[in-house]
Amino acid sequence: MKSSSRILYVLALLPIVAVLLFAILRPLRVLPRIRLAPGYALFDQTGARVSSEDMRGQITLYGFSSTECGQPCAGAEEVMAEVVAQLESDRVIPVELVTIALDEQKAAPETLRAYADRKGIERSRRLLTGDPNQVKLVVGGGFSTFYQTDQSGQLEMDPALMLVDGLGILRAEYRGNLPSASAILRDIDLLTQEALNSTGLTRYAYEAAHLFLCYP
Amino acid sequence: MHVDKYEQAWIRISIFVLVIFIIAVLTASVSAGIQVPGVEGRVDPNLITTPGASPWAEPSVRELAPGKYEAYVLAQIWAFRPGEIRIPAGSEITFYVTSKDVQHGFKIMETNINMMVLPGQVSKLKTTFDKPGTYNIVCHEYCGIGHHTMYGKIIVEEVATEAAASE
Repeated sequence: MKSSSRILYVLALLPIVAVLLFAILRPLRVLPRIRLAPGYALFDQTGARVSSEDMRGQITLYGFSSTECGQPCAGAEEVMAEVVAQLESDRVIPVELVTIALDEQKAAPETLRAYADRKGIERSRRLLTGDPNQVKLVVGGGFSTFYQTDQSGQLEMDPALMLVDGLGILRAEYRGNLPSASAILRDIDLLTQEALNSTGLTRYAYEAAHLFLCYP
Repeated sequence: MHVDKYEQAWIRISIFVLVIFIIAVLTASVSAGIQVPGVEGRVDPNLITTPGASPWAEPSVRELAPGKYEAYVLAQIWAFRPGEIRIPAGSEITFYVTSKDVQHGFKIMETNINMMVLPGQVSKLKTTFDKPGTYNIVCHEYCGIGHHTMYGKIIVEEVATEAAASE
């Protein structure tokens, strides 16, 4: 084989090998862009109006509970409390933990504050409430999380946590057997790294990483 | 034996690409832990009917929000549970289907919905039914002597509009 042909073959194979190596070794790890997180305008425990737009530019971990909820919500609350405990306060991209109340009626700010005190939830964490129909559209419709109140007034729900990036895109859904706080923190770190590093040429590398990701 | 030089070259490329793919598949499955289907799409068939351990213990359709439903469907010899699913027209529904025993199929007639259902694996599909009517679900993977009797149905109900209600 002529040396020029050999070079030609090598040149043709190089991109194939490079692409395969990129897909196999995954030098950049990313979380999938699942879909847009639902928009909302709800109220927090101070009575202030909070919308999904207020969460832009920061990473948000959403949990769901009701002010009367017991066992069905305990697991998610424990994981969220553990995430808060392990989260460094001086993160480049802020991380906010938000719990949306699934009460049958819009909870009063003082009810939310009493719930937070009872559960030992830090003052810095936001608890949101609103019109039950709107909450149903956000949590059931937007986050695809089932919940309902049974005839005895008990909340039935599937445990779930949702991780949303600074652009308002849902990046991770944790359902059923919830992961440990360290697994969620690892995902938060991945989002932070991606947001900080995906500029200039590196951005294309991140887009390529998304391209090779097995989306759910 | 004479082999043309270009043919030789392409044989080499083919073998090389094959080797690379084998390495890729092995690395992905062993080192990176990538499986098909993903870990989140698996369920323990031994616990499938244990209440509290699996949503398929009581297969049902649940309303997530107005116009949005999810259906946990269990395929078993030779029936789908629930056997009948009712949703209003225009609803979006996500099917989570798994098998209790052997391989089954999940095909909804008059649509392009077509999934293979395996024990231990969750097959997921989201669709919207706009047209009212009855859609039969059939098993299209041979699953035993009663295979031909295995079916279910989805009844898409017409939504009464305000104009129709006032007539």
